[in-house]
This record gives sequence, C-alpha cells and structure tokens, in this order.
Amino acid sequence: MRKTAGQDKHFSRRALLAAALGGGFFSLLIGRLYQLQFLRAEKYKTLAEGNRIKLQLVPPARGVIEDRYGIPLSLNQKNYRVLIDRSKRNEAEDLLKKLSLHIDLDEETLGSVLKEISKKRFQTPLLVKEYLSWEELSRVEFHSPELPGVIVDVGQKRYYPYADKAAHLTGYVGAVSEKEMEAENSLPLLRLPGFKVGKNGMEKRFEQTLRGTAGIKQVEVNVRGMPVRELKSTPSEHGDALPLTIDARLQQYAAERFAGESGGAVVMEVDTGNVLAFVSMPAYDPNSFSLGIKTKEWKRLNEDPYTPLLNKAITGMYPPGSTFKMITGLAALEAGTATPETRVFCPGYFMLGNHRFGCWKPEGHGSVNLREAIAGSCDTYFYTVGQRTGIDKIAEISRLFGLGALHGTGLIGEKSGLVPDKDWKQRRFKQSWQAGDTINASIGQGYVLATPLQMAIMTARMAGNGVSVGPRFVTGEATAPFRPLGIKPENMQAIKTGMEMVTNSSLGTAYGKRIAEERFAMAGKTGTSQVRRITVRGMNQALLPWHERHHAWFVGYAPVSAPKYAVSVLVEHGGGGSSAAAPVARDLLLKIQQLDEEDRLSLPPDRLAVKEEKKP
Amino acid sequence: MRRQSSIETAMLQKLAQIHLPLVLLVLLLGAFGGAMMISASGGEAYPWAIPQISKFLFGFMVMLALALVPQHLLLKHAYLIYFACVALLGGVEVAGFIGKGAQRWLSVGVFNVQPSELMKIAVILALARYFHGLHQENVNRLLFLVPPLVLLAIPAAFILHQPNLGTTVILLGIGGIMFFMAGVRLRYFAIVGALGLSAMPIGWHFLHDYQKQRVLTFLDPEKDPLGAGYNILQSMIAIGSGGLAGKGYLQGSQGQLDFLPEKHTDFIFTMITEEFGFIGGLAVYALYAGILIYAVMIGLRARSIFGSLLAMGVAAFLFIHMTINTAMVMGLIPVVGVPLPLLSYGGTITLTTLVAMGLLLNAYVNRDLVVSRGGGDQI
Repeated sequence: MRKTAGQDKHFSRRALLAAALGGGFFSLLIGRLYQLQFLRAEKYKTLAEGNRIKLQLVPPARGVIEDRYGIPLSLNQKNYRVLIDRSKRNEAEDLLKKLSLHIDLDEETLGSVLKEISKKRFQTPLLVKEYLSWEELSRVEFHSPELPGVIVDVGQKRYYPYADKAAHLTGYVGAVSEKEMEAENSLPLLRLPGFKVGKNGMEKRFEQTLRGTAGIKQVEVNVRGMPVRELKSTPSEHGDALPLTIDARLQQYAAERFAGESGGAVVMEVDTGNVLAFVSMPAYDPNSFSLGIKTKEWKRLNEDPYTPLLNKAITGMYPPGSTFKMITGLAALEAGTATPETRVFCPGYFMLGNHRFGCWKPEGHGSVNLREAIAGSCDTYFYTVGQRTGIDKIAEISRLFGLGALHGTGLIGEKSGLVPDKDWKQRRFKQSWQAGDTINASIGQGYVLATPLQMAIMTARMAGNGVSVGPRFVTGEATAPFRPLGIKPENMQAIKTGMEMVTNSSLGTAYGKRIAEERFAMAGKTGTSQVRRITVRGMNQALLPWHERHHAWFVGYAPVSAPKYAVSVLVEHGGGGSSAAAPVARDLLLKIQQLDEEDRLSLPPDRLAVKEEKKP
Repeated sequence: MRRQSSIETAMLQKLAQIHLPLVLLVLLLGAFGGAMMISASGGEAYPWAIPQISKFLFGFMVMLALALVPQHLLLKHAYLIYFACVALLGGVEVAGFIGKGAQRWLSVGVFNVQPSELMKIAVILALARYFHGLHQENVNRLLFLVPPLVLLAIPAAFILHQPNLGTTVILLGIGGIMFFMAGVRLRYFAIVGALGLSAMPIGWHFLHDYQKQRVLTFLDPEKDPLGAGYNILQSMIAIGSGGLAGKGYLQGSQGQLDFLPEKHTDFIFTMITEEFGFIGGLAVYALYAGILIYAVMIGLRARSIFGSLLAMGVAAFLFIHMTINTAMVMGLIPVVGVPLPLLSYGGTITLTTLVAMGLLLNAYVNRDLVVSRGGGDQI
C-alpha cells in the first residue's frame, strides 16, 4: 500500500531510531577493535619483531580406573613420542629421511606422514611415531640440532595391568574417529596429535569423567618456531579416578578359572547390587588395542569361534534352561496353581495331548513336591505347573526378576534377552501362542533368552530382601531405587529351600559340587540349555562337536544362612550345568567369602569401611 | 512486436535506474573478499579464491536480474517462496538426518543447499508482503499479529531443532526489526523482551551441552576446560598483533593466523585486521555502513510499504551478520558460527547476501511504484 503521510512520518521516526541504535553498535565494535589493537599493545609488543604467540593446549592426564580397593585396572604410563612441525611441510621428506637414521620408520608410516602433512587444514604438530623406547628418544634428542622442526615429547599411554582378564570391563582407548570428532563439535583438544578416547567398556562409558581438563600455555616463538619464553599458562586438570565396585582379586581369579573355556560370569552383592566380578572369556588384550592393533591380530580375534571380542556377560543371550525353573515355580505359587506341598508324579515324561515331552531323567523322579523338583531339576514337575499357571504369569514373574530388560549398564552391546508371551509371539511371528510353547518356556527353553548378567540379577533378587536390586559398577553411583517385589515371603522361602537342596542334599543335581564349610554354604541351580533338538538330549555331550554341545549354566548364592553374594556362570557349549558350570560357581563363591573373611581380619579400619559401604 | 519492445525499453529504463553506488560497494566487498581468499591460502588461487570469486560472479548476475524483476511478481510469489523454503527446511530434518550430527545441508545434485540461509530471505519477503497488505489500524491488533508471528516461529523452531542457535537468533533478529519498522507498538516489544528474559533459565536447560559450554567459555575464555575458547584467544591475539596498519597483505598466514583453521570463513575479519590493522577493520565497517545507510535511505524513499520493509529487512540481515561475526571474533560474545557476508568463504552465504542485495536494488528501482494492498499491478 502507498504510505499515508502519517505512516511516512512514523516510519521515518523509526528508521532514525533504528539507525541511531545501529550507530551505537558500530561504535561499540569499533571501540573493541581499538581496544584490542592499541590499548593492549604492550601485551603484544614482541610481535613487532615478527614473533608470534603460540597457544598450546596441554593435554590432561587421564583418570585411573580402579577396583574398590584402589587397585588400578587402567592407568597411564609414559609415552615417548616424536612429532613434526607442520610448517616444515616443504622439507618433510628430507627431515624424515634424517630421522629414520635414529629410529625405525616403516614405509607405511612415512607414507601417511607425508600425505597428512601436506593438508593445510590443521596446525597442530603431526605425530610421527609414539611408544618409543627411552634410547630411541635420547638419540633423537641428541641429534635435534640436525632435525629442526622435529619435536619430542612425553605423552601418556594407557596400560591395562590385568590385560584380557578385565578387557570387557575396562574396554580400551583409541584414536578419535571422525564421527566422535563431530559429536563433540571438533573440539580443539580432540585434534591434538595422538589424543585417545575411550572406545569400549568403562573407558567409553565414563569418557567425560576420565578425560580431565586441558590446560593452555601461551608461548612466544620466533620466526623459526623456536620457543623464546613462556608467557602465561593455565595448568591442565587430570581426569577423575573411577572407582569400580569390582574386586580385582576376584576378577583375576574368575577370569583364570575360565581357562580354556568360553563363557561369562557375574558376581554381585545381594544387598547393594555392587558387581564384584564381571568376566567374559576368552577376551582380547586391550594393551594391544591401545598401541594400535595389527591387522593380522584383529582378523584372528574376529574369526575365533570363542568370540573374544564379544562381552558374553551382557551381549551373550542364551536359553537359561533349568536355571529358569525357580521363576516357573514362583509363578505357580503366586498364582495359586500350586503350593509347596503339591505333588506331581514324574514317570520320565509329560504328555501334552499326543505329544510327549521328556524329562532329562528317563526313568523319572517319582512323586516330587516343589523343593524336590528344584533339587532334582525335574522337568515333568515344571511342565505340569507351568501349564497350569500359563505363560502370562510366568512372563510377569520373569520380568519382576530382571529378565527381558536392560539394566542401564551403559556399556556397548548390553542386550535385553527375551521373555516371550502371547502378544510378543503374535507381533513377532504373526502366530498365536501354543500350549507347547508354555511347556518349553517352563524349563527355560523355547523362546526364552537371558544374559549372564540378567541371571545374576535374578539370583540376587531371589536371595535378597525381596527388592528389585540392580547392578552397580561404580562405587557411590546412584542407581534406580530398589522397589519391593511384592512376592509372598513364604513362597520365596519355599523356592530357596529347593535351591539349598540342589547343592546340600543328596537329591540335588549339584550335590557333588557343594561347599563343604558350613559357614560358606551355597545354594543354587544347575542349568543345561539345549543347542540341538530334544532327541539328542541325554546323549553323551562329549561325543558332540563343541558348537553342538549344550550350554552349561549355574546360578547360586552364599552363604545360605544370610546371603551376601550371588553368582551366575555360563560356559558356552560346556555340556552339563552340573559338571561344567557348577564347579566354577562354587569356586567363585568360596573365593569371595574367603577373601571377605581374610579382609575382616587383616584390613585397617578405613579400608574396611570401603567394604562396608552399603546402599547408594 | 510492439509489446516486446515496450518490455525491452522498460527493462533498459530499469537498468538505468539501478543504484550504482550500492552496486559499487557490493563489488568492492566482493573484490576484497577475493583478495583475502588468496591470502588465506598462502598466496594461491586455490583452494578458495577462484571458487569464491566464481560464486560471487554468479550471485552478482542473480542480483542484477532480481533488481529488474517487476515488483508485482515479487509480491505475488512472496508467500510461495516462503512455503517452498519451509518445505526444504523440513526436508533437511528428514533426509539430512542420515548424515552427521547437526543436519543443516541438503544435497540437490551438485549443489549443497542450506535451507536455513534461504529462509532468512524468504522470511523478509513474507513479512514485507504481509505488512504491506495490512491496514494501518490493524498493525497493532493482536489478532493480526498472530499470522506474522507464526510465519516467523515455524522456521525458527525448525532451525533451532537442527540445532543451529546462531541462525535462529539471526532469523528472530531480522523478524524483530521488521516488526519494529512495520509499526508495531513499542509496548509489545517490551513484553516480548520481558518474556524472553524470564524464559532464559528454561532455555538454558534445553541447550545442548556444547552450546552451554560456548556460553561458559565466553564468560571466561582463558579458564577453558575443553579447549573451546582456544580459537577465540588465538583470534584476539591475531587481531591485537595488527596494530594500526597491520602486518601487510599475505602476511597473515605466516603470522599469528597460522594457528587458526577457520581463517577463511568465520575468522576472516581476524585475518583482515591482522593484515591491514585498525585501518583495515575500519574499511570493512565503512563498506558495510555505506550499504546500510543506502538501505535506510531507500527504505525512506520507497513509496510502497513492501519496498520499504524489504529494504529494512535486507539492512537488518546485513547488520546482524556483521555485528555477530565481528563481535564474536573479537571476543565480545560467545562463539556462534555466523559468517561475514561477501567476505567469508561460502557459496550459500554469498548467494543469499547477493539475493538480498538484489531485493534491495529492486526496492530502489521501484521506489516510485505504488502498489495496492492486494499486490495488483499499478501505474
């Protein structure tokens, strides 16, 4: 529209106002420019001579990962490095040739350095080689007048004293990837040569805690790049130490106990959820990853059928087999479809219509009640009560005890396992739930899947004070509050009596693997989860090739009188739960209790206080 | 035949109407920018000088073409352009998310389009169109202020979500100035200002970590935990080392700036003041001031509201970019990645700025045109 006279005036007034404000801003900006270029001149007086002020980021020392008693699981060592100033890009080839007289430089390194140095984008010195020996470093330093632009410095390298025994727990550190660079908006600190960040495990989970704070050094350098004097510096702050709940002695013992076998184990405190051991074996050596693993080694690790790169404790999903029976039993008790005294006759099989489901004991268990069924691991009993109770109740109880869900470890690869129910099968396979599916689920087969961590959590919840205890890896870390499970105490006790009988009664499937010392007595459950079809069940596992044998499980807690520790052990393709997994579990529970007793006798009061640390 | 020649004469007449001083200032800035690109690459024509000059020349043609477009066409298609840009912006959210962390680009064949930049122009057009069509007495009726607020809010929300705090602030700034020039009562601005201040604590909560870090770093760049204030410190030292007349052309990349990777984009002003000193900095401000003064004059001169608001919107665009960029490199405000128009390297910002200049020239060419509220053709 055409402007009216009034609008014109109004507009002019506003335009003038805007122009005046704009003018104000201009003065501000010009004033600032003046301030920087004149008023602060003395600060930059040196620059008249053509010198420059170089800002250097000082990398912080990375925090140490410790076990609960302060034993380091991941720490820093001196890393001698050789770098080259990027301003020397034109003389680079000659310089490198001279340098290779004093240290070993292979073709690959030479090639990549020359390629990288011609890029004009970044200004920080380029890393040529690290992890040099002290002798190599001295040689370079001695010859430094002939090597202008070659810089030596002492950085840090990450060292894992427990190597593969705590590999999946600690993880490892490596060079920053493009993606990680972008995620932190190309932070200048990440561009420092050779800067390493956590890639896996606790190193990655707690990267920000461990990393620390960079310092800034202002150094005046002359035209040749030689430092003249230091002007100002803000020191770096080292990263915070990460105190894990892990007991390094138990961790080492557990990892060694797995020698030759493939599997995982988790030991937890029943009251607090503190994880004392977190094992997946075999594993890789994180030290070789931090140093820069060779392709051949990487390939070997990838192709190993024992999957050392996989953290079986949280990523391995297996059918829990008979270790699931307590869930079925508890579901029946809570639903009222059975009592602890309800008896079921086991002739060695169970009929569902025309279909025959066998019990692992072909001659049958005879008449059994709940605790006898748990002790003897009678399949027939659980088929029966499972069928009477129905999958929905069984699924509900499973979830209550931590199955089928993630537990917030924050570690890469944590899986949630599977608790099947009618809805799930409909969604997943577009098929309806069959009666036979419930039968299979009742003994922890069929679609049910769990990780060793979940089975440990389940056991801790059963052994404990009726609350939903969850795993905690870091001392003092706040976890989700533990809520009451709402299970009737008498029902839980009936189940636990059965578990006590597994190891301490002659009826029990793990009687031969019990802990003899009464004060350390353990309770638990064996499990053997099928890998092949039921028809070869009972077949001598030793005759089958490794990858076809059943997985062996054992879950347990101790001491029976006042449960303190819960454990779950999985031995991949171990054959029998009793023969392969129970001995490992027994040894772990015995070990931790012995250590506990020794500590009480020998530790000074302040260290004992660390042990006593209770609820978050 | 006769019709064609009359159009031709009209075009030639318009060509003669083009505001030469403004075109000259734009050319000067473009040339200055090109020269700095050569310096940034250490005296080479690549990798920045030739591409930047070509983009500038292309945009320069677009600018002239836009100046000659009949104003009624702009009026007619203003909203269409706006909605097309919003659609592109939405497209980035969907398609661009496949890319890296902050999705801001959309690949259209060979070109990388940054819809958030185009949005600035589209909003100027849309708001100018809207207020042009509004009766004087309705300008301060809340009911009639809702549509333009929504017009502004939708793209702002998209851009904020990308996340791109810098561009959002610019967009809101341009919008705000246009509302102001359209005659919205000052009282409303006070209310919005108060609301904005009280919402800051909540807004702080929603900021991404790196954005919070930027604000904290700004407050004390020397005590900097993550090295993010490193660039600003470098920049201020470099500017400081320029003194009155600077270190000389091409000396920047040998000097302090060797430590600044972004000297050809966000930190171009730093480079200019290191090489040409205080005089160089004043020259940059003088060139921009010149364009801005002309823009305000055109805004006063234009007889249609559309033309006036277009001019003021373009002025706001230029002013805000210049202020934010130079304030940032001098350490006056937190780090926000905002380029300096026509001096910073970048196809999108150069093109967008030249399109804006084209609209400004257009407003001048049509300064005597009185267009009806509906946008119909007039004398």
